[in-house]
Amino acid sequence: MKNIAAFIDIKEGKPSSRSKQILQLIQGIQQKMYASVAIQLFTFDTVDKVDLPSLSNVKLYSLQGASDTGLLSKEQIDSILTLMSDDVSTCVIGYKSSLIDTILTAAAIRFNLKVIPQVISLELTSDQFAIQQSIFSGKALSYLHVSHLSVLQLNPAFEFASSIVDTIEQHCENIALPANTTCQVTSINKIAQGANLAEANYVVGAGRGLKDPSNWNMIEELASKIGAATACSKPVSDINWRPHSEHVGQTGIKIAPQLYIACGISGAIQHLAGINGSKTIIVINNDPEAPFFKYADYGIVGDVFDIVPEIVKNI
Amino acid sequence: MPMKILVCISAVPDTTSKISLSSNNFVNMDGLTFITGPYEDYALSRAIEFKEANPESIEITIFHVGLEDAEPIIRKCLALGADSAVRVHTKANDSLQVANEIASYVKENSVDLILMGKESIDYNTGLVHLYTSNILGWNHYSPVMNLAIENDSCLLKVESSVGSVQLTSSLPLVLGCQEPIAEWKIPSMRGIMAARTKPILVREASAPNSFTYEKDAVNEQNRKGILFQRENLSELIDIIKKEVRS
Ligand SMILES: Cc1cc2nc3c(=O)[nH]c(=O)nc-3n(C[C@H](O)[C@H](O)[C@H](O)COP(=O)(O)OP(=O)(O)OC[C@H]3O[C@@H](n4cnc5c(N)ncnc54)[C@H](O)[C@@H]3O)c2cc1C
Ligand SMILES: Nc1ncnc2c1ncn2[C@@H]1O[C@H](COP(=O)(O)O)[C@@H](O)[C@H]1O
Repeated sequence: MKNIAAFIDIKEGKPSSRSKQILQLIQGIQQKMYASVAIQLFTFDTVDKVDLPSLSNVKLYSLQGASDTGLLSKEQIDSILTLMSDDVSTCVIGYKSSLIDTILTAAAIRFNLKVIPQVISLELTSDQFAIQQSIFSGKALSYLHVSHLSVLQLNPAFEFASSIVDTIEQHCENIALPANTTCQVTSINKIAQGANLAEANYVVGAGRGLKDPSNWNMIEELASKIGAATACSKPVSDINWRPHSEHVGQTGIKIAPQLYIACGISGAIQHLAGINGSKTIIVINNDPEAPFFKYADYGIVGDVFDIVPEIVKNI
Repeated sequence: MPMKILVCISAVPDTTSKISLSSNNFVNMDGLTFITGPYEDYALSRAIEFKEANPESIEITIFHVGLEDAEPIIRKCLALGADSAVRVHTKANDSLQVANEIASYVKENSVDLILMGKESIDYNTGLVHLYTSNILGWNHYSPVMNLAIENDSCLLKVESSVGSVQLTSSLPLVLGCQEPIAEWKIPSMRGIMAARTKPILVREASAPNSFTYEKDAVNEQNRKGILFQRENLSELIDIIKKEVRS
């Protein structure tokens, strides 16, 4: 392996908690096997300098020109791939998302590599990665060994255990992507400021137990108090109580936050399929038989209209 | 010439399936009920809405890479209103393999629009539509939440990292679909009868597998399962505080 290209997020001058996992992985690769490997880090965030773990031979690029729509045209992807070395001896790494996936697959086709999907953990061996892949929406794992020259699509719950010791300040080079001319954008309905659900560290979810969309005030209040994103069950978005972009589960967004608080959600298997990557799950439901309690770290049997305001008041 | 829509479907265990292992240490598929991937159901439902509005000008082909046990699922898609189906006779092992099969069919047959689900629910990779667009050189959007066709263009609503984006893009296109693009449909008795005589063309496989899997494991979720009473709510609040601080 001669190059690693990785996609990271930078929030307030620091790599996001997920991006830290990528940087730890790269540090591990440099320490254990390829000290001289050249690292290219790409971000869509606008930054000039960032504190990064000390890696050697590293360059950071801020890609400008996709942040208004969150979409990339083929020409734009090509210009990103052109920045990556032509050397086919490359490993490309990024968390699964609709934006990053477009680059990962294009890189795989261009450099004749394979995308290893849904990597949830990996171990370094001298000539391969020993991969654990999340399958069936987190209900099972699959094991395989792949070449170091691969494209790794990381599952939202991916972790690479190691602790970054020292950090150094890294300057960032701005790259202007060509204009996106393949489509005419007629309007953009931006998601409300706040945490992006798929990447949020904390999520408050609510279901049909809330009874009426007007009752989401307390959910939003709780979320804003702890800096969480809001999520909902499928029926709630189906009846337009909440936007579809909040729907988590088998047929919605898959989340892997540090903490998920589920309010008035029964815990159907299809809902669990979207949230089983959560580190800690707290369930609030007035039915002691609600299936969600079996999948909770902490639960409380009670009325959401009593419990949630009480939490908001005391947190 | 009618507009040709190819809807690519996966056959996956029902969403309520309990996953267990068989003696060879891979996920046991015996005894599970298979369904069309839920996202592909949305894609197909939208295609059928186009056809119902304009029966003469839309032709829908179902495309599936997999063995003959998927034929009941394919028949159900035909019963919903698709015109014909193509099945590539091989075990689908990975997204690149499936994409190569789709692309090789599309190169030999005229197709204007390829609809897929945002992702399958077995491997959840969301890569088949991307690989296909790269191999064919077609433009691609996913996840698509609204779709209308106007002449040679599609009007789309796409969920991106910044929000929902309305745009117009010209055909041919490869799209990964998700709700609320359409409502799931139930086949009618007439549709089921008509489907019996609709053709399912079986094609030879041409693309290789990418991976060799060693084994699977059931992902046991060991949750703490600690239950609080109302009078101990403050303890739960302390836990939330600690979680958010760490
Ligand atoms: C193919 C398929 C895919 C699906 N995909 C998804 C998916 O992606 N995501 C998803 O969420 N669902 C999905 N579903 C639907 C899923 O099966 C459930 O129907 C859904 O998750 C239930 O939503 P809910 O928990 O909000 O509502 P309900 O099941 O109605 O549960 C409401 C809960 O609120 C509790 N409650 C009521 N009042 C109060 C109160 N005052 N205080 C506290 N608790 C209260 C009740 O005890 C109950 O447990 C899918 C279904 C199918 C068939
Ligand atoms: N075996 C298959 N045959 C045909 N289409 C498939 C197959 N597997 C997946 N697809 C399509 O590709 C989409 C993305 O699948 P995946 O990349 O596996 O998540 C699915 O929603 C289907 O539309």
